[in-house]
Amino acid sequence: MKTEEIKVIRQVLKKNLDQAEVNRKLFGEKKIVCVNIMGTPGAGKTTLIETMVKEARGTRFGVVEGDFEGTKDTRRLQPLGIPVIQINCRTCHLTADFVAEGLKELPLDRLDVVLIENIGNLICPAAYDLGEAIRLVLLSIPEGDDKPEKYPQIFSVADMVVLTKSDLLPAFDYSLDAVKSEIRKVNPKAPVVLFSSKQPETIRPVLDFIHVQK
Amino acid sequence: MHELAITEEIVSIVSDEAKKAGAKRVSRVKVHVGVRTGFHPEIIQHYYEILKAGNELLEGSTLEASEIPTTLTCKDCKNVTTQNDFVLICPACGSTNTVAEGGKDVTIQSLEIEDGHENRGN
Repeated sequence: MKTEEIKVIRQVLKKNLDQAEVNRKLFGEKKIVCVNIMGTPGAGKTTLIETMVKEARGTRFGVVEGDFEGTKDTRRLQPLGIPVIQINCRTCHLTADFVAEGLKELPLDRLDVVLIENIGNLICPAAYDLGEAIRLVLLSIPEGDDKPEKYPQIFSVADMVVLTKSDLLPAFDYSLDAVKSEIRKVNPKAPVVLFSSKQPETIRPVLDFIHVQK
Repeated sequence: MHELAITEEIVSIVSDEAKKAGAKRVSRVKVHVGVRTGFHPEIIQHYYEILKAGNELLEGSTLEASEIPTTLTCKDCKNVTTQNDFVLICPACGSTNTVAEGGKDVTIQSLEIEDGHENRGN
């Protein structure tokens, strides 16, 4: 019996990265800004999408709605009259493959922005590039100001962090300075903004951030 | 359960490469796991033990996963440090004007195989 060591050097996530590049190229060709929206279940991802669509008149949105199970969020977005594709991936994160499947069903020639609502989770989605131009990470005030220290990776990959449900600030013992300082440790560049769906105009910095990329 | 999907991918790539090399069995797999990937080497090893069961090619193999740190270079004070977390602030001067290199990938480095093609490597 002969034993030998062979050098391999293969990136384990290469398959996903390659598909992400295919998606990114497609968005480029169609002049679409793709936004990957991440955060826990209940952080307010769907509410953020609703507010974006209502407040950004003239921008044509499409949504890839990732959920572990069911079509609740797709039904919820229906009144907005925009194309929404539901993906039930039964995994803890979306991959670039799932997004590519979803994109086949969207009328890309008639869209300016594709919003991907990732699976509610602060861990797994951080490791998977979907081909997006912007990663928004949502953290709602009731979740606490200590989460960036506990889940540093997702905050490290964010292009913008949105602190949602900001109208609840007075109800919690919450330090904005502490949360911002923890985010800054792992991500010195990403802006941190406050959003409350009770004041829909607070979505403006998020919309401006997306439009700057166009 | 976070590491399950990536370990499945490792098993698939290793099987692929071993078959390409004409191996009858794989005895060792070396993997590098970057600290900023969020994946933990010992959990990848744990899943590998479960996934290799019943797989003739891989059953006798062990997976060695080592953690690869990030090298953080401060552009202000020129300090260079090795980081084992996600922090990008210079530990010497507190500047955020830093460049981080390494620690962002999971890569398979090498395989030890038995009875590969005779004409491989010398």
